[in-house]
Amino acid sequence: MIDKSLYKTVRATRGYMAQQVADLSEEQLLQVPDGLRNNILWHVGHVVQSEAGIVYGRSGLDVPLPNHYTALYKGGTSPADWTETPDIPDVMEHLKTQTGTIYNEYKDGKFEGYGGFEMVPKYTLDTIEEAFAFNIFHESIHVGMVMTMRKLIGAAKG
Amino acid sequence: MSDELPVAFKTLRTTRWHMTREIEELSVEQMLVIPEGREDNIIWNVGHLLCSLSRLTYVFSGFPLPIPEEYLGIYGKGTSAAAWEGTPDVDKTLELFNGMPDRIEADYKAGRFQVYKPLSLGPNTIESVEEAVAFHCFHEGLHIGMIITLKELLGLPTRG
Repeated sequence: MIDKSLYKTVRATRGYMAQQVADLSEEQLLQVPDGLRNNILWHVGHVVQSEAGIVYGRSGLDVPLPNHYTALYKGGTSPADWTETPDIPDVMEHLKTQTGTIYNEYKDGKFEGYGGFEMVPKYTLDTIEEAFAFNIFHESIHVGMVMTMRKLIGAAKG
Repeated sequence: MSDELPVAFKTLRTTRWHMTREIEELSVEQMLVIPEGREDNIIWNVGHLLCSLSRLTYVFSGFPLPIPEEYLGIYGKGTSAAAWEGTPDVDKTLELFNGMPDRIEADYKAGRFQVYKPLSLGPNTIESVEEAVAFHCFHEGLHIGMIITLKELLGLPTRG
């Protein structure tokens, strides 16, 4: 079972990301700073897509996101390849609700089929709890990037 | 005594694997460059994590700071590489940083982290050393993200 302390950190991490992006305009979300490859919206979509891909995908479940999220936000993709502007309110809604939904589903035993996988050589995510813990760290990498990007686009937040 | 480590300790190893991959091939000079528009460099981010992890685990469990006290003035909260008067010892900082997970795990297994002085961080309160390590994974991820962005700004290849 996921311990309370771990889930607290999962929720705090997502809250941190939401807080970093809540006050930005569409233009700021879409701006790619000089020298970088992505915009802030990409990072938002990426954390949502990545968490769903691991938690649902590795449990053999359908990923409850629109199919095109993979092409838009999967690791290695970039807004430079987008053919149209993604639906911003939709991705913001997923950002807000995903963690709570997954936690409730987890308590109901939805992820019992989680199979584990080798993420990088030597490092495996053997249990769903480990996947949640990994997500704290993965997501915060992107929060860190967003924090830096805000400074680069002149929208620094304390 | 505990042979079984909490999940957060394994995540710390994974987090650290990613961090090491980003910084292990950098020269001291590359770690010290402050890009235009920024106030930090790569080694500041590393030293900052070293200070934070040391405090969150040892100090809040009632032990002395396990790293040189002066590091807090160089890398601690609210400091900035742009304000440094000299150059810190990069190799020593990296050595302490790289060794800290082993040190913490050994002390955890030896049952040394028994009491914890709760620490409020905004809406979140850290109440145990296990929670401190989980929080640190988040915090280290933040700074890995910043380091990756710094590397991109410096035109260095990232592993991301």
